[in-house]
Amino acid sequence: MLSKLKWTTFPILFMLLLSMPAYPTEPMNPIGKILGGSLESPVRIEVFSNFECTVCREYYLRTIKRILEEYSSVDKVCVIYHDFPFQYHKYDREAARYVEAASRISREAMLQVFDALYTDQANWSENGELQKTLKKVLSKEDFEKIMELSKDPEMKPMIDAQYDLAIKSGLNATPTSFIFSPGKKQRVEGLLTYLVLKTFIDKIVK
Amino acid sequence: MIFAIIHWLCRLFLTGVFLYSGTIKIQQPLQFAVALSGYQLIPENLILPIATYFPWVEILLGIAILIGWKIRYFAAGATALLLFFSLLLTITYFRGIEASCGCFSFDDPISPITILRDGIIVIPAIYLLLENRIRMRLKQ
Repeated sequence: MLSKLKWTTFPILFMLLLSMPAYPTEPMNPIGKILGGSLESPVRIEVFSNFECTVCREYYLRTIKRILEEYSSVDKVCVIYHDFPFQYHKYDREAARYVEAASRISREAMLQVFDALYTDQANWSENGELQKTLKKVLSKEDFEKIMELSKDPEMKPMIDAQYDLAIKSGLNATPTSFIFSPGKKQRVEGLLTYLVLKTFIDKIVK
Repeated sequence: MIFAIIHWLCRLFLTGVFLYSGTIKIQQPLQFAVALSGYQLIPENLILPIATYFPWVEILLGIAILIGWKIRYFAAGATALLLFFSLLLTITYFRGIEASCGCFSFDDPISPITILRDGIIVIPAIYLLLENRIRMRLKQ
């Protein structure tokens, strides 16, 4: 009896392992902002983030920015950001509007807005002076354009669509990343360090 | 008879624990890496290799304990592993770090309950390790 169990256990357990539920592999609708790389990149990172969340700030400045510089610039990683505003964050939707507006000018302008918002987060999230933060880094022309574009009534449904996508994906925390690599999709809640993400990406692209 | 029942209950329990825990981590190595980073004890360059290969060690332990081959050695391995993790959780908790346990799910913050749970899980492993001695003592 016992000797039979020994040899039958392996295939049964193996089948059990294979049948465990995995995340769906279908790609997520890439609404949101492409910060770098293209949709054809071998690795795609979709981040649901919030401009007022302090962990999101760390994640963007310490991990994502370096991934953009090192991998997205050579089209090995595509980084997409979605805004996921929480009700208790007073200024996140305003920040998302400026990002949306900047994205209509150029990717560079959008990245400048991203950098400025996350770098100066401690100030504007206290006093609500987002425009002051943006004025410091943008050219006068870009700043005025962004202010004008941010008044577009189409902004709200676009931000709402990103929020709806987050809810539909079952998210309840920021930052949450979906990391797509060939044949695999992983959901990661929390702060992925640069070195961990780099080691993971290197295994795929190098 | 009672010893045989206890023996099998311990084996099945440990197998379930290790297979469940290992399978969750195999599916989400990056999420497990985030949990390991949260402990702030492991060198960063080791985090992803540990997150990738450690779950396979758990699966191997689970299968070996179920099969029963060299069970005392694998029980010793399981005991060492579980004690190590209990220690890791205790240190992290008393350092005041708010980290996820990453033991059986990834939304399970380290607390006295998670430490106690890991402490309870180690009991069947210790029983399997010391089973012969326990039996002899009880027979005397």
